[in-house]
Amino acid sequence: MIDVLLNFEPPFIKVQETVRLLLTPINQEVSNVTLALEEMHTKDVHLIVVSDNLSFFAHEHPQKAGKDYAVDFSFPFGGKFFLYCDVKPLNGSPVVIRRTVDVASDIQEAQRYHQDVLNATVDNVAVQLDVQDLNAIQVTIK
Amino acid sequence: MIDTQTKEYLHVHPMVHQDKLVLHTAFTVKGTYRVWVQFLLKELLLTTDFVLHVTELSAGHHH
Repeated sequence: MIDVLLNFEPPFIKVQETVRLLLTPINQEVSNVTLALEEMHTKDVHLIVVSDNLSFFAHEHPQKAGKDYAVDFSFPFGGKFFLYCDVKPLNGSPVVIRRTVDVASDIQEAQRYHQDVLNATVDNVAVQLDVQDLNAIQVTIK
Repeated sequence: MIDTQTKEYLHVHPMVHQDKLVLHTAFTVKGTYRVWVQFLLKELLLTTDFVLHVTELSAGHHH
């Protein structure tokens, strides 16, 4: 069973203060041994961070630091955050390990997503999703 | 893609079909999903976000 241990430096996370996230991939059947990873899409670890209400998204690439993978991160507001660690053990299949982090602060209000949002623009680039076939969503970037 | 209720995570990479980018997904749960699309343009990483309601599940083909 693959797992990713998560630790912080400093150990208490505060809003908008940089914290070092330390991720240690392990095989639970072989204790105290850091799991060897192989790259996926040019990185060993893809770390997705989202807020509980899914209004916040970040995609980080922790770097190897001793037996851990480390990345400095600043949580933008308080509340619960989900961390998805996407890794591929050497000669194994990719796995996604989810961790939860609580950042002390005022609780964020729940976000409501009543309607589809299928168009977005960033830096004058328009991106559109065509979801007529949910098994094959077409992405148009202009 | 992340289900707003269960927080289940689907990681999908686009494939190119006839000059179009296509996300082959395999939704197994109906619900509301937040979708983020990231792409590199002129060495700049851009992120866009979407909302998608999945109200029907089809057998579909899986990759």
